[in-house]
Amino acid sequence: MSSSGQPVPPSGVLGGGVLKADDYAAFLAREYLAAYLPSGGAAVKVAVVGDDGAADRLESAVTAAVTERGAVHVAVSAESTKVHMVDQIFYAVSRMVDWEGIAAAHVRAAYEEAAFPAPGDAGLAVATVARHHEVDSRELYRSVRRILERRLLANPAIATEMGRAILRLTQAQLGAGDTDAAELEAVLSWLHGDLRSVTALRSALIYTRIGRHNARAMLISTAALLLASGHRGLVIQLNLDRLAEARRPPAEARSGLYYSKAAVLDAYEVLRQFIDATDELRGVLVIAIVPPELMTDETRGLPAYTALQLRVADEVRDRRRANPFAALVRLEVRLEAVA
Amino acid sequence: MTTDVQIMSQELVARRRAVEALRSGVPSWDAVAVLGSGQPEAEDRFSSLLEQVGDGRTSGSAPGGLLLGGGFGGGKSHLLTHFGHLAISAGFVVSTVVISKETPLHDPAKTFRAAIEAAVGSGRTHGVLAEAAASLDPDTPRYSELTRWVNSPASGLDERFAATLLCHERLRGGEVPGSDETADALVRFWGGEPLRISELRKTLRFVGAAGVFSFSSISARDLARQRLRFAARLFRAAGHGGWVLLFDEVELIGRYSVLQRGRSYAELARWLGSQQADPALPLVTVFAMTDDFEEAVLTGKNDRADIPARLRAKQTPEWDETATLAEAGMRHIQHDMLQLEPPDDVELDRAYAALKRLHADAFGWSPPDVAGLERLGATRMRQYVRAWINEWDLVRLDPAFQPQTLAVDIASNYAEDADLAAEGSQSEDVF
Repeated sequence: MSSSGQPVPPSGVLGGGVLKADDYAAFLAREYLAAYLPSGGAAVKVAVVGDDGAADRLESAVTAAVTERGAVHVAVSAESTKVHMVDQIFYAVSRMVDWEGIAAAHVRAAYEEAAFPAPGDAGLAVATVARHHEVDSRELYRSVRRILERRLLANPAIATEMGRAILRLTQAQLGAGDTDAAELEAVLSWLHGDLRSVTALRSALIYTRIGRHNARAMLISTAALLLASGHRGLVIQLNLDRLAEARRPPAEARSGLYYSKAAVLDAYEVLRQFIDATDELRGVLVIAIVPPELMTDETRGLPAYTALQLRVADEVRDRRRANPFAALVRLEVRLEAVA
Repeated sequence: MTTDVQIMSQELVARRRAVEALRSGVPSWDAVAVLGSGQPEAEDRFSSLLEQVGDGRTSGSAPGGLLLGGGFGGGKSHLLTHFGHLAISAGFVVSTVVISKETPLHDPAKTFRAAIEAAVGSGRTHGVLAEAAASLDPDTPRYSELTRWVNSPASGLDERFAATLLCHERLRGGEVPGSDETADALVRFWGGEPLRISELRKTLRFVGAAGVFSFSSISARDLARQRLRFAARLFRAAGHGGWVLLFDEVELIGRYSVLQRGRSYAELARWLGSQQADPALPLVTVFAMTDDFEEAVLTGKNDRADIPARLRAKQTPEWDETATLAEAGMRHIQHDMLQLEPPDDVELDRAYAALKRLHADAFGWSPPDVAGLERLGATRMRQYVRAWINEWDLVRLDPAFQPQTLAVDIASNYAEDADLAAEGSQSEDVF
């Protein structure tokens, strides 16, 4: 039965044999993207993928499914992003987020709540909306600002500094003169990890950069903001293939990043923390794609990091059939090929 | 974009979330709400500690904490989550810290930071330290008690704490331009971030307290330990019952180097003995580790004899103290570990029924009875739970399918791993 109680059509996820990437993507779309994620649910999956072709097919199929359902899809590769540092994963996500769009959605919602909806395409400036409704713009601004402060600063799902940052973006949209172009630019740079000096944000009451100590909270906040602004969730696809490469090739053959063993363990720790944060995450699906060799490599693979291995390893499984709901799935990989 | 998105009720999402967590075997508030703890003795001991600490009735000789032991998948994390429920219901701030590469037990600065970042209050909201600081009311007896203690030589606190508390009291309210930023910096100092002495002196001059306090250097470790005690009392002053710290996967210390293990045992002794040093400290600590640790590490690696000898061989007072504490920590593991009770048939039947209802509610169907794993003494609770959930998932997808579940044991690994005990990797570890 589907999540809505309808019979599930036959699909490649059933019937034993090898689980196909396309079928798994369709399964995720049906069981997670259709209702669970948009409603605030969260999950972390590890997909052991047989080869690059299967990984590409999975990514394409998931991207298509996510886009079709109005969620935000972010592909993060260990080749180009330092996946052992959670703040770098945050920045990779942040650069794909339309922050001004999120701010605009919150401003629209605030006008609705204040009972003065913003008219069609006329913009969100408070002067414009006030003129449309023939009310005093200063009064309207005060009402809307109170609503935005409550939604952004008193929301337990949003970290304080993230709330302050988005509040500044909403104030820019309201155009009442509380913020200027320089501050707007500083906020966006802060969110993207490009800000040179955090003193530029003192006026916004933001005093620290986004780093390893607060990036997870910022990610959780980002997901909550996306849901609140009408998106249907956040899907982060982490491709961890590069972690399997123990030796850097000769200089002329190198491309992207290569990880020491210590960095590989840190990457596993980041993934472990995501799994443990499933209770707090709202509207997030993380899919970590790993090559088969990381399932058995005792130096660089999951067996080297028991805390993660215990959370995802299929210590309990059916003799004949893989469960696509499981924390760890094998896509186009035969079970016999891995320990 | 498709418009056929359905939104589930929050209750339904909670059910699904619980099932999702149980598939991974990770602790989940929603799962614990359904299953309870199944560990009456441990629960009674913990509740008693909460009561004593909440009432300020601690005995100076009794440990202000618990050490829980159980096999892999035996339900330790689940029990800690249940304790979190109880503590929050009793008005405590709760932090869960998973000992890991990033949060090594031998480093009090890192464990303190992790504990503060993870701290949640009622409603499971974060930012508890900032919130508590904001709600301090100088006109209350609780606040008076805090300032009395902070300023008392018997507290053993560095004067930074009295100085910052005074500054915070005088700068709150934000009437003075820039005071918000300074007050924020003071709270961040309490939470583990650095604060330049020059900045603190400048602030003291500003609030009319120049020359009142003197500051000497303090090690990061000692500062972290003092921050811990200060934070617990600040939470009490802000109206909470105190602070509960839940440490999970403590057995990871078995993979550290000898010196790191020694330091870790010493920290364990400090945490569990914190009430003896400071009987009125509103702090409860619970540690969860595997029940084979004594055999595999204390005995298997001969830590009982080797570690004190190695630490004392350094011939400094600091290492001598660490050696003595390490011995105490190992004695705690040997004598004070409260073993989790393995599930009996009554408990398994109860859990099975609860999970069957959970799966039914989560997916809107009527699960049939499933066999799961054979009931053997060696089977862990997590394996039973995962097997049932796995079988219901498969049958729900294909009602004609007859599951046959097998279980694979994942053995404990206490082999020393230098990478686990090393400092966190930096950018240089990626090329």
